[in-house]
Amino acid sequence: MSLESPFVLLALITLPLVLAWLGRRAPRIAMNWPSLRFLPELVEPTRERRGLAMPPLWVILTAGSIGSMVVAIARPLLDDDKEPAGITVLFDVTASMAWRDPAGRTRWRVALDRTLEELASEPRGRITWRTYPDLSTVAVTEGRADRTRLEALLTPRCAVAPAAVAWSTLQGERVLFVTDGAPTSLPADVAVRETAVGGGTNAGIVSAACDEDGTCWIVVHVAGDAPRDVWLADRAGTAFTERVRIEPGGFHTFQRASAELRAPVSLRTNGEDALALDDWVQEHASGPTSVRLAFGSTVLERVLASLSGFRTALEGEDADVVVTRGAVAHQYARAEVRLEAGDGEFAPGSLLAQDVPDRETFSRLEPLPLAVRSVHREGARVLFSARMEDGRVVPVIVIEENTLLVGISLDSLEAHRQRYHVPLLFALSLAVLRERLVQPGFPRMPVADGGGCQNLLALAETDQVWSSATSTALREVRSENASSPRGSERPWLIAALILWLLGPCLRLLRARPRPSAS
Amino acid sequence: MRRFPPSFLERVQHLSAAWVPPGMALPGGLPRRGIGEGLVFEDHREYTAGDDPRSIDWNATARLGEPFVKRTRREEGRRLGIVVDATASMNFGTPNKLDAAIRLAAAMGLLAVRSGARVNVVRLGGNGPRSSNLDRWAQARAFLEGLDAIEADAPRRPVVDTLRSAFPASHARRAVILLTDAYELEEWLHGLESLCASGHRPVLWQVFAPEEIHPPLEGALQLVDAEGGETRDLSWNDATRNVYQHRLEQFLETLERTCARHRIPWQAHVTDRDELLELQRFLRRTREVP
Repeated sequence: MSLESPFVLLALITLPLVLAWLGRRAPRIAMNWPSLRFLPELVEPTRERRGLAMPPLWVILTAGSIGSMVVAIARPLLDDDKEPAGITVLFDVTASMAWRDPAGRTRWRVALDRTLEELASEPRGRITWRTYPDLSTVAVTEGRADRTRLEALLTPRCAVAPAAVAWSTLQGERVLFVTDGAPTSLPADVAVRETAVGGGTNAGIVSAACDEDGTCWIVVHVAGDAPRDVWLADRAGTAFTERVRIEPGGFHTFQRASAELRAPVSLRTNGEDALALDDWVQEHASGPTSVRLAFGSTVLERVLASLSGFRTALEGEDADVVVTRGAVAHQYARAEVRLEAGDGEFAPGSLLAQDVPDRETFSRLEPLPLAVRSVHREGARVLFSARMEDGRVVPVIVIEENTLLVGISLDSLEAHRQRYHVPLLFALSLAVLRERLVQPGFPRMPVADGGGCQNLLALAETDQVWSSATSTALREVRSENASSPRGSERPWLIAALILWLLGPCLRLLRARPRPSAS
Repeated sequence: MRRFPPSFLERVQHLSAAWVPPGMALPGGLPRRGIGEGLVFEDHREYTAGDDPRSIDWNATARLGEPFVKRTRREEGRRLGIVVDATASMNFGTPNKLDAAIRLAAAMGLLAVRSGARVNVVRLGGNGPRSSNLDRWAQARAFLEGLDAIEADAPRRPVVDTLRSAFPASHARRAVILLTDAYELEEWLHGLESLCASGHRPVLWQVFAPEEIHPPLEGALQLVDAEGGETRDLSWNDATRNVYQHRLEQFLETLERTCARHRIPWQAHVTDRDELLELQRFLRRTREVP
């Protein structure tokens, strides 16, 4: 059993004790008596000589009121058997945690270091490691944690913060929430203690594209509450764009020759940010857009229908392929800057596709039903493809025109309940490291094998494709139920409660005359 | 004398004149049968019809020329023993039980002397004169002073030993009035039976304080036994009071039943009542019921 408010309980227990002490009855009056022969059976034990003068009704009312107050305020929790003792570390493993700081350290590694530092000051106890947003328990450690093992378990994943988190599963736990941004779905009654917060401004690349003429556009956005100077640089930090001051909420498009972008793009800024870009995207996602399906798919339509604000439309009626497995495109935001219409390649990478393998090469690739097969600018539409089990690569989804894709969420249809977050930023690296395939009808299609966000994250780990001065915010979230020390850590509190409630009852029973005496 | 008011002797005399005419029962129910039946010369009176001719004093008749008879008394029948319990348990109550017992003993003794008996008061326990004798009314003041010097105290001899020592079987039979609270019930019952076996006629006057009948107790108490010093803690409440009353009634019933079995007169006296009035009622009752 644990208590939500042990100090309130202590006060409740102390108050009646003081009242009872003040209400003690006077010591027994000693007096001579000719003979005690008529009173032998009514003798009371001497040890109760200075007992409390409490009438039975008073005892009952006191015990009842104390019990009621304990239940109402101290709230004893009876789920100790289910809840582990110690502290729960809720570690954010969304994709944004994979981003790098100017020093080249990924955000989640910095966060893990700081978490372990904080835990070192905690009293020894069991540490339950949970991941956010799925809240699943990945490890339970005692004492000093194995950092290598934790690194393997807490690697960022293709996950975004869902609209609703099952916070109720954390009831009664003392939670250290390690995240790079305040989750919007935190319940109102959850207290957040920020242990480290950076500035209130965030800057990042939200989109990039190149045309066949070798011109690339890189769209940069600044969110937060302060302007920021940003520029693009290569891995070595050599700037190849001018410094631009962007006001909060503003965009700027860097236009550079593709040759300059053969090296990984690095966005440099003069300040720190506190709000991860994907969180900003999550919060400021634009309203509904339409998704045009290249081919009819009952499953896919159902998945899309589950996403609020999406409309689906078939690209063509002559589709002869039924897609049973595919991908879902999710437009995060509507950018103010549009790419020019016309033929060309929308290549999510700093390098343009030049060595395009032929169709045969493409067909030899492993089936990657979740991979982004193609990003093609065709009438301001971006097409995705899926490779079928028979080897055919088919277009799946067409993003509505007049939108600038800043993020893609891919879903496995088998596990569509969890949306994978793939910032387009990571796709830039695909063109750098992976071969690019061009299929007839889908020219200059960069291909990433391994599929999905996981591979993109792995690439992000090894390649500095993103840079923003981002500090990691460690937040300790204590739900109301978990704000107090656990009952198991304060057994004397529970013992005091039990004794206090039992004492008057025992006294009441002892004060009752024995039947034999009468 | 702190125990006796100035009017005590006067009240006893008045009581004697009113309630102790010749032939009346002595305190304790002992009939005054002695005059005319004993060997001790009392005086002469003129012969009247019906007198036993054997009682004619021929010498006096020869000297005076008219028949005179001798009046004699039976010496052994005119002794009264009084036992006053002066143990610590008697030093209790308002008015004090021992004071009341001593006033009763004095009144009984004086009345007995007025009726021609000789009185011997024996103290049981306590301190002061162990025994006080009263043969004539003229000794009344000294008798009262001796009784007034008795003080209660805890140590005492067993009841039976004291009674046997004071009233052995070899002595002439007499009435023995016991003034006590008789809380040591078994001892007193044994003593009563011992007196009966010795041929004496015991009378039990049981003295209670009003506090013992209706204890004015309340709350948490530590009662100390007046004789043994034993302490008992208890909370006095309705249940305690009921048990006390029940056991007190049982105690009195036991005494009354035992006294009735041995034909021992038993009288309970509560000290808030006037001793002489109580004694007067006793005399009236014993005379009306010979």
